[in-house]
Amino acid sequence: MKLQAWKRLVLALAVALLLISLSGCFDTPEGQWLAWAFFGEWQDEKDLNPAKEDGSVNPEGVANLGKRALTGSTGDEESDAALDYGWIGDIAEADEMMDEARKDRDPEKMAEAIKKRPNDYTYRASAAVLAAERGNAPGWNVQEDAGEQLAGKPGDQVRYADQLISEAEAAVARITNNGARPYKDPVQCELLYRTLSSAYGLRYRAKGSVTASDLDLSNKYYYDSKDGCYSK
Amino acid sequence: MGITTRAHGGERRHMAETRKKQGCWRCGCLVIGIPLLILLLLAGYAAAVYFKVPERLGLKQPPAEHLLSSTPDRVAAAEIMDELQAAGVRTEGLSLYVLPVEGRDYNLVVAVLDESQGFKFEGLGGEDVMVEFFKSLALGDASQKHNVGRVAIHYVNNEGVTKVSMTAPTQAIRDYAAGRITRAALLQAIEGKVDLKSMYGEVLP
Repeated sequence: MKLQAWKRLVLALAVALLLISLSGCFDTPEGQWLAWAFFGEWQDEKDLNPAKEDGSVNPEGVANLGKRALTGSTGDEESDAALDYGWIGDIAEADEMMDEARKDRDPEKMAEAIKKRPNDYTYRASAAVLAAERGNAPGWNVQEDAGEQLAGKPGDQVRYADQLISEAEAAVARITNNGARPYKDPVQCELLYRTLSSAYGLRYRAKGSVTASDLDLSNKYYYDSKDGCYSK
Repeated sequence: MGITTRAHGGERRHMAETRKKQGCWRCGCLVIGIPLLILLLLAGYAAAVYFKVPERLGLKQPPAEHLLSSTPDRVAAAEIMDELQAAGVRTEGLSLYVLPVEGRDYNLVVAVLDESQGFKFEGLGGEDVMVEFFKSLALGDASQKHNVGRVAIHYVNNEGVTKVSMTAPTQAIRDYAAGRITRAALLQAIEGKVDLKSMYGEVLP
């Protein structure tokens, strides 16, 4: 019985050692090897490998690699742009900052994100709605103008208008508690309705006659922004 | 006359000694110094390119800045992501960006495969995962709907380091998938970049 317990202990230790040694094989994740393997195949095909299969130096590979290292380019501008991971990292960082600013309704953080990506009209749309929400007419004007200018193509205009509508309607619902509470400030009311009026108008123009109701809503919000906000 | 000759001889000796003393500066150091200077200049240039000094100083605009600075199409990215998910591709740790390319009539789709955020090559079928991923990104209905003309993949390892970046035109991926071009032709159409430091650092003893 004692011997069996001893055997079991040795067996358990052996299994543990085997597991530890096997786990060492997976220090480098499989995905990394798969990516490298493909990269290696590509490198060979493009003659960018500094070493030959027998381990000797591949002068052409060294020269080609050296040329790329010295110029910092693949020779194709579009590929260079696509391979710039830093650029994508910057977008991700600014997006994260903008998402936080949207959640916290924080104009400073929004301004910071816009500074990082000034040509992003989705940022301008959120900043315009936030400015309207805060009754900040000059700020609203700046962001609305910039947003419309940046969203120049029809597809962009529709996306820009969709975002303005979605965020401005959410702000109206939040501020008025779905219509149960009046606006704190008539300027806030006017700016939000002007946002909605111009967004529905823009979407109508971008999409054409298919969305006639957009034109009606644009007119409705326009009159609301004039009379509705100041009548009470 | 004799004195003059001696004097001339002394001058000559003096000149020869001076030449001997300056020899290092005029010949030896030039022979070593010029190539050394060239090497140093080349190394400095390479370092400046590697660390993107001209871009940091604002002397040169990176290609991405003038080609990819428009607003990403997040709706298109979400549609492509939904399609990948529906096809069974693991989307945890995967981020997609659809970027209009300035001056071109198509979009670039960029996939960040981040193992540190849970990405795994799953649901792609077979071992040729990179090519399969290129195909998944380029050939789906959503990619065609949103006019994807180029695909880029950035692979980030479980330590959060970008290891491999590759890009290919959609047309080459489409041609390869349809059997119109060979694998070698597809590889020729691909461009790539790798984190050499970490790659060789791990492979070499």
